[in-house]
This record gives sequence, structure tokens and C-alpha cells, in this order.
Amino acid sequence: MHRSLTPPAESIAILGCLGLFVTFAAILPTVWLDNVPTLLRDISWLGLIAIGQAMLITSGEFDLSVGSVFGFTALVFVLMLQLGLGAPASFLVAMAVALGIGALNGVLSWVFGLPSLLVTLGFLFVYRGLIQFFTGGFPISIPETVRESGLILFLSGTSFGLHNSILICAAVLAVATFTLGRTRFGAHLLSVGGDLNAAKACGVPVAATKIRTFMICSGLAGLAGIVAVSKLSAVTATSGEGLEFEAIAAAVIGGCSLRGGVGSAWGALLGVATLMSLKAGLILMGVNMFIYQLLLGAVLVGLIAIKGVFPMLREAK
Amino acid sequence: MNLQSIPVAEKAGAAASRPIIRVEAVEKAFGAFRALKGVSLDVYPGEVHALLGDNGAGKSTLIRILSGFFRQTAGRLLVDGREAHFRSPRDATEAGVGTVYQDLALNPLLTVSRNFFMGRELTVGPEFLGILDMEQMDRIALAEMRKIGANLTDPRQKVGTMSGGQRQTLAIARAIYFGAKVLILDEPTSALGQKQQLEVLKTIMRVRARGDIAIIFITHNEIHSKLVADRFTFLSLGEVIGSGTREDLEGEDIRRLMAGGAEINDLARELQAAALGA
Amino acid sequence: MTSLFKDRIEASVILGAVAVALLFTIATKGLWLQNLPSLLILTAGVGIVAIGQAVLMTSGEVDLSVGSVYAFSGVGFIWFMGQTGDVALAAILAVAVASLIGALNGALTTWFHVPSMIVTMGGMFVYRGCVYLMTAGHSLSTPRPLRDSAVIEMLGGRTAGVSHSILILLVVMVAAVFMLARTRLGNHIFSVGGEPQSAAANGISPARVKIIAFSLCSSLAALAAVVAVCREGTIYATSGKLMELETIAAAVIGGCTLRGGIGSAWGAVLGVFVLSSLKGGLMMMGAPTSWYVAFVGLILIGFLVSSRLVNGRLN
Ligand SMILES: Nc1ncnc2c1ncn2[C@@H]1O[C@H](COP(=O)(O)OP(=O)(O)O)[C@@H](O)[C@H]1O
Ligand SMILES: [Mg+2]
Repeated sequence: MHRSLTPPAESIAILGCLGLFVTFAAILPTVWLDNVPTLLRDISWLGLIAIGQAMLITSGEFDLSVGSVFGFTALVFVLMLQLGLGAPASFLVAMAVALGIGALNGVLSWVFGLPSLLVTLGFLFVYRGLIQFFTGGFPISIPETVRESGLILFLSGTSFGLHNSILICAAVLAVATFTLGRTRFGAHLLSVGGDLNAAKACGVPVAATKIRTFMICSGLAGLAGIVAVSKLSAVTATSGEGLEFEAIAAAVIGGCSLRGGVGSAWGALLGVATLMSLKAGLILMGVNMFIYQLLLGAVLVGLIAIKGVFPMLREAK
Repeated sequence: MNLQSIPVAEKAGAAASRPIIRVEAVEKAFGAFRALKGVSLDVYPGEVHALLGDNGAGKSTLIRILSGFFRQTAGRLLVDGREAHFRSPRDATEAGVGTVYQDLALNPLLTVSRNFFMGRELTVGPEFLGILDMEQMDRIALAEMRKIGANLTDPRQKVGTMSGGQRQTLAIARAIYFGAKVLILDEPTSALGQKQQLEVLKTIMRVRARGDIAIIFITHNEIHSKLVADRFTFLSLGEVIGSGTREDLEGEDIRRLMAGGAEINDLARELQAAALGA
Repeated sequence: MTSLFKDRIEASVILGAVAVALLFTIATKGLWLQNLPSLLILTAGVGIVAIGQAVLMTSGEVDLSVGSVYAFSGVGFIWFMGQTGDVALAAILAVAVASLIGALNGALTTWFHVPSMIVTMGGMFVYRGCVYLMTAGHSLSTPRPLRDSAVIEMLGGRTAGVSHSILILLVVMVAAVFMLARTRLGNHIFSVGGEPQSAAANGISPARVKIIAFSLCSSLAALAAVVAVCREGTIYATSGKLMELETIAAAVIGGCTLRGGIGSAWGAVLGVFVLSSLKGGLMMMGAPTSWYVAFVGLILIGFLVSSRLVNGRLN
């Protein structure tokens, strides 16, 4: 089919987030518009994770541990602050941990040849167990003394009326889009996700590409955790629970092929915007959060079915 | 080792009077692209029919039509003199066309007898329970493999532990046991070492010796085809560019036709020109 | 002896189970043995589900929704009891609904060629959401008038001190072992796992076999829930959480791989026994439950890595 006749893979996300935004703005005119800054902030947090996950899915892998890594990195950040390490040093330590986690996922998957879905499922629970162990039912908070430090003020603050996390997310989006579209690494990433054997045959460094993508994914999840805890000031036993699912759902809504090779960072971010608008709208309407969970599952399963049924929307593979 | 010393049995004569498969002016188009442009060939029982041609000649496409994966765009397919319309690979198998694919359709994790009966298990007791008749399956698999020369002792050996030649034999024995009158071998020797290749050629000759089975042997290897084939068909770009019995074709012909019809001298000249031009 | 043991995929789980039993018995000076009955009940609950997971993994797929389907079926069982007033009918309906859920998972996975882990992750959230809504976030109990019914006694009672859950686990295990080893369905499950193309070339429909395996897996989750409700009388909004991890870990310890084509039902049950022993042991040592969560995750990964190092069988 001619390129221009095929709708872009991201079309569902574009329609979804526009539709929801307009619908809720019509149903809940004042509260909805008042809520937009918070909505954008939430989008930026999950957006960071979803961009990483989308890149990983595009490379043909999945990371089920991002929710736990989000919470665990935040925990490390706060623990370092409590140890008196200072905000910038704590930030670097926590980011190093997150990147290390990603490298471990990648090495286990691509050096040991283990299925990434199983490995990251295992780590989902390992890091969650650690979070639960350290928080032990009580939230762990950023000490009062460092809350005024420059880095934390920046991560939690606003500029021009927008949360700084939105700027961070926008910057990450720009870098990710450039990486996917205009760099050798991006080309490698798409090729290993599209046809692994062909990529191998052409001499693409498959293991290195996959490991780096795992590190990006975990690193962005960790960054999101640090940014979020800077604003919320505390890590709880459930911090980040379920985010892996929201991130994967957002990536799929945003046009990622579950078979790899097709995907974009901005599509994933629009997917996040769709999900967060839905969530915010339901909350503002006073609907039970379990309905959101239920809808989330139904949307993912429904999309899989729709993409399968209508070849028009199916990934051009 | 002198490959030429393997005896090629005399043709089964009268038995070969009627083709078991007749392909009549078969065409296949993929969109605007015509992969087969009117191919005709006859395959006789007790004969090995070599199908030769360069990459992209249409060999696999023709085979897929014969084995029910594709339907031809035009032309007829006659099996035993009757026109056949295969709607699925299953139809082809039932009509007696057994295909041994390059990947052999074997599961290396399972035993020989389970692979032999994969999808066609023998059962005891009430049918809906599907309880396997293991002893019977083991016995038949072993006997059938030995008939065509596999020196197998344990039918519960995992296929993953067998040599490439043994696996070929398993796949061939299976096809014959389940009623193949025509055996299609898609490049059976291409992925094997020298010794294993010889094993497969021997197996082919043993099947040929039965006299009732026609073998379509697809290969790139001119020597292999000359060793075992009674009849040759050469494809190039979807067309038959030459065919005949081994008596009809001189060695030079075969080499020329393998090269897609170009004279080897022409090729040499072209190469020379290219070298000079560069 | 060596041939009986060395090539068995269950070898490591047998060793593990023996080691765990010895370790805890010695460490607690025999006290641990008194714990065995409750440990076995714990094993029975998860074990029935793990058998389904092992069968499914042998066919090359995984189900992350078993824990939610377990809770959903428990809730459904109680709801059906209230509606029909008939325990046996309610149990059959609950299992039937679950088998449809499994078939849906299988259909989505096989028809649309997407990883089963992602599809069933969707199901995991959907059914858990339903459970929270139906229990209002708390719990549901067997309707009072039905609590002494014969069927509940049969599924949830005990005979000569042995909980019927354990007997049911044994029956299911024997049936599953026989099904895998000696029936056509079992042969097809092994065939489509690992090498779906070769199975298809031999006239076996991988989609059909996998849908059956999914259906079986969900049905066993429902059976486990029915048995648990008959025994305990209550199902909680959080019942069955962690079950997806426990059953997958147990199946992997017991010899399954994610690619399929290899698997053992009784290996998975022994795997659950090892995990339950660890859980009980950690509890006796006064460790918080978070340890167990982390441990199971580590065991899953550690086991994958070690079996990868020992041989190249896991791909
Ligand atoms: N499914 C298909 N769709 C489109 N073109 C195809 C398809 N299968 C084969 N072809 C084309 O048909 C031609 C013949 O291919 P094939 O039969 O595989 O050749 P051979 O096996 O002799 O190398 C090739 O040009 C190939 O690209
Ligand atoms: Mg070919």
C-alpha cells in the first residue's frame, strides 16, 4: 500500500488523547482545566518511563521491572540523602544504580541468553521486595534539611507556570526522537527489533545494542522515580507499582509493535497522555480507580485485537 | 572416495509409462510478478526427478504449489491422471504428495517415534481420551526407519541427538509410511557435510529401488543430481529451459542449463570483459 | 541411577526439595516436621495452579493472569452459590467461566501473534479490578446456609487428618503427568512448544493446542480457588496476588522453559513445595514477607542463570 494511504502507527494515540481531552473538557469544564498542570506533570513522570519502554519494545524486548526500578531508584536517592550525601551526589548514585540494573537485565538477556520477560519479571519482585523491606510499612522521606537544595528544588519546581519535570520530559523526548531517527545507535535499535537475524547477518552489534537499550529503559525509569520523589518527598512500599503495565500499554497505544521494529518516542508520550487523561477524568468524576485498572487492561487487549483484525492499522512490517 | 562408483539402477521400464504427477502449464503470479510462467513436467514412479535451477528460478514456488501451500494462478495439476485441487498442505498429503522440507518439520526435543507419529498418533482405548499406543508407535517407527537403511536402535532417542543424515531419513521414512507416492525433497543435501550427504543419497536410492515411489529432488548440486536422477528439469526465471532423461543430456548440457542457459564460454567471456572494463 | 537422575529435567528440583526439607528439619531440631501438614496445604493451593502453568509453559506460552483469575473465580464461585444455592453447580460454573477466560487469552495470543505475557498482563489487571469491585476491596464468604453442604465438605474437608486439598492436588498431578506423557494432547503440547512450525507441518494446529493449554491453566486456577473457598470459606480482594510469580518460578525450577517443548507437572509441584518451605521457614525465622517476595524473584533468576551455565538447554 502506498505510504501516504497508511495511517501512522501513532494515529490511535493522537485520536485518543485529543478525544479524551475534548470530552472531559466538555463534561467537566472548570475542574478539568484547573487540573491541566497536574495532568501534564503526571504525563511527564509516566512519559519518561514510557519513552524508555517504547525504545526497548522497539528493539524487540520488554522490561516488566520498570515500576519497581522507579520505586527502588527513588528509594536509593532518598537513602543517600538521609546518609547526608548531598543532592547531586545522591542523584548520581541513584542513577548509577538504575543504569546498573538495566545493564544487568541486558547482560542476563543477551549474554546468558535468557528471556527478558522472565528475567525482568523476577527483578520486578526482587526490587519490590527490597522496597518493602526498607520502607517496612512506613514511608521513607527526604530529610527536611535537604529539601531546599538546588537540585531538589529544580526537580520539583516550576518554570513559566509549568512543572520542571515537563521540561525534562520534553528534553528526553527530543533526544530520544533524534536518537531513534538520526543516529547509528537508533538505526541499530530498529534493525535488531525488526529482524534480528538480518541485523546479525549485517554485523549489527546485537548484544551491545540491546544492553544499551535496557540501560536507557531502566535509567529513564530511575530518573522518573527521582523526579517524582523530589516532588512527593517520600517513598512508600507501593511506589511505582503497576507502572510497568501503564508504560507498556502507553507504548502500544502509541504505535509500538509488540513484535518489535516499529515505534516512536512521541507516540509513547501521546499514549501516556491518553491514559493519564482517562485516569484524571475518571478521578474527577469520582469513579472508582479499579474501573481505571479494568479499562486499562481492556484497552490493551482491545488494541491487540484491533491491530490484528484491521490490517490497515497493523504495523507495516 | 569415488562418488561415481555408486551404481544407478536401471530404470523401472514399463512401470514408468504413466506419470504419477503431471504439471501442465502452471503459472503463479505474486501481484504483478510472475514467478512461474507456464511450467510443465511429468514425474514417474520409481524415478528420481531432479529439479534444478538458480536462486529465484521458481523451484520453491513450484514445490509449494505441489504441496498445497499455494494455488496456481493458471494451469493444471494431475495426480494419477486426475486433476487435483489442493486447498491445504493436508490435501496434498492425503493425495499422496509428501514433502520433506528443508527444516524437516522435526522437533529435536522429542523422541524418534513421537516425531514419526507427530500429528498422527496411534491410540488405544476410547478415542476421545487419546491415550498413546507407545509400543506400537516405537515398533513401527523403528521398522520403517530400518527399511530405508537407518541404523537406529532406540526409537526413544531424542531427535536432537541424531545426525543430519539420520534426521533426513526419519523425515523420508515418515512421509512414505503415511502414504506418499511422490516424495519431494527440498535441497536435502545443502546443509550437510560430505559424509551425511552420501547417506542421504543412499537413502534416496533405496527409496527409488522400491519402484513405486516418485522422488522430486531439488538441488543446487550438479554432481548429486547426476548421481541419482533419472530425469532432469531445469528452471530459469519461472520457465523450463531444458528437460530430459539422463541419456538425453550430456554432462555439458547439464552444466550449461544449471547456469541458467548461458554457455559457460559466454560467461567466461562476460567475466573477462568485466575484468578488463574495471 | 544416573540415567534415572542425571538427564531428568526435574533433577535440580528433587535436590532442592530434599535440601530444603533437611535444612529446615535440622535447623529447627525437628520442629519443622510438625509444620508439614500446613505446609502441604499451602503447597496444594498454589500447586494446582502451578500444574496448569507448567502445562501451558510446555506449550510455549505463559499466563500472568492466574492469580487474578484465581481470585476472580473464587468470587464467582461464591456469587454463583448465592444465585443458584447449589454448591456443585456453582463450582462447575466458576470453572467453566475460567476456561472461557483461558480460551480468550489463548485466542488473543495465537490469532494476533503477540507475546502471551503481555496479553495475560492485561487480563491480570482486568480480573483483579473486577475482584476489587465485587468485594468492595475486602472479602466475600460462602453463604451461611451452604456452609455445611456435602460438596463443601468433600472439597474442603479432611479425612484421617489429611486435608482434601492435598488429595485433590495429587489427583490433578497424576492426571496431568499421564496427560503429558501418554496422550495425544500431551504429545501435541510438547510438539507445539519450541517447534510450532514443525508441528503445523505435521497437521497439528499450534493455535488450537495452545488455546486448550491456556484454557486448562485458567480452569486449574479456578479449581484451586473453589477448593480454597470450600476449605477456608473466604476469598479476599488480594487473594492470589504473587501467584503468577510463584507458579512461573515453580514451573521453571521444576524443569519448564519459556520457549516450551520441555516441562513436567510433578516438577512444578515440587517447585511449589520448595517455595512454600522457604516461605514457611522465613516466617518461622521472623523475617518480613518482603523477604519472600524478593527471594522468589531471585530464585527464578538464579535458577535461569545456573541452568544456563550448567547446560545450553534453555534457550
Ligand atoms: N510469497 C511470495 N511473494 C512474492 N514473491 C515471491 C514469493 N515467493 C517467491 N517469490 C518470488 O518468486 C521468485 C521465485 O522464488 P523461489 O520459488 O523461492 O525460487 P527458488 O526456490 O528457485 O530459489 C523469486 O523472485 C521470489 O522473490
Ligand atoms: Mg528455494
